[in-house]
Amino acid sequence: MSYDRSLVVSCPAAVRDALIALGRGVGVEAGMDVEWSLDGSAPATHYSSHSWVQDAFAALMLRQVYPGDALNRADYAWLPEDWVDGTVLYAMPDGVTRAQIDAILDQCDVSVDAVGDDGRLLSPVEHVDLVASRSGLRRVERTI
Amino acid sequence: MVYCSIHDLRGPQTERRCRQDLHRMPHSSAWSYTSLFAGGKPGLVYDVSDFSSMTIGRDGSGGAPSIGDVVGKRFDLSGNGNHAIMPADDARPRLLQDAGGRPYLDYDGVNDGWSRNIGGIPDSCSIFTALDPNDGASDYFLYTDGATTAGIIAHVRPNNIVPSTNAGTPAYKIDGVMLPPPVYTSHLLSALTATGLPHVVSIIGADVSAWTDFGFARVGTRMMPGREYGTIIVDPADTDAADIAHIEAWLAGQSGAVLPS
Repeated sequence: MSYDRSLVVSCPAAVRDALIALGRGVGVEAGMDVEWSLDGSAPATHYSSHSWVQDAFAALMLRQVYPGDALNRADYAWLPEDWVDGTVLYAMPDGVTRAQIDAILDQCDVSVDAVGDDGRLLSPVEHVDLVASRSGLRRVERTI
Repeated sequence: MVYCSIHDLRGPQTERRCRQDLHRMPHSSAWSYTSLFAGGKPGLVYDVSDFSSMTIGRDGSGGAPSIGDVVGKRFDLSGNGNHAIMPADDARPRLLQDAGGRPYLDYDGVNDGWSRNIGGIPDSCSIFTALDPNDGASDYFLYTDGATTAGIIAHVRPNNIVPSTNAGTPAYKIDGVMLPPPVYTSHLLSALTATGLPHVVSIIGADVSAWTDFGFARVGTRMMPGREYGTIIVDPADTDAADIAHIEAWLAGQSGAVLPS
């Protein structure tokens, strides 16, 4: 599986730590360090990130699968060639439930492979801008 | 006018000697960047064409990347152990290849980058990289010590390189051509560069003594989308004109950048 899915995730500032902790639980260290706010000024009210991910992680973020799910090829065409049916792709983090995952991701905006009006896959910058604009948010401007 | 190093700014006598040195250079194919670090000289080499010098995971796991994979860790090929780690999993660039089959790291322009603790890097260092800014609306790019403050050696844009503060007064070259000083102003390079083409950027004699980390990092609103084909850092005291010409020629070969004949 190649890393060819464009993933943008954003969340309110109050949810950021929980989202990062959830990622850590499935072995992903998320930066979530792109700052957004209503008018582009600090402090950030939301955080976001862009990353190139494999199908499996995109499916996890879209909640098409959950940690702990035993997957079968018949249900998921994107599983690797050497996949053994019934294997758990991502283990459920200790002490975490599906309800808790839902509670976190319900507050997040998750977008995979956004396409523009011309049918072209948006670039990462375009993709991030699209997700921000539909929430009425702008990147926080910082100078050096 | 061709300058060979920051020391060449002293006068025409030195310039002539440098030109002669360039003519005496051995053929590039016989040169290896490892020669720059003989005897334990400091610095680093990140060679994107050497897939075994990278891993998918930031902790060195996941094996060497293939084209299309992300890169989480880069191993320093100078022998000095100055390995670089991407700051987060969502900051990993992708390993791709251009139309000529040359591999490069593709930074997404949002939050991708790499960082390296300054330990093991000379306070005065020369930085050479091959990159393609690859976007007309770009922003900061090269070598900063943090996400918000201080220490940018240069902002590289498709037709523009803007040296910044907290990096001393290095000399700058694009595709082997020295930029005439002073360099602390926006310097248009439309005669030398064109959007969407790779370039060899040489930053000679930068002062990073006040830095804690450096790398390709997001500063401010965004990082420039772009391609990196390789990076070499050396101590200027260990590097002569012939070394610089070899480094630039190697980076040009890695990226397809065109140096003056």
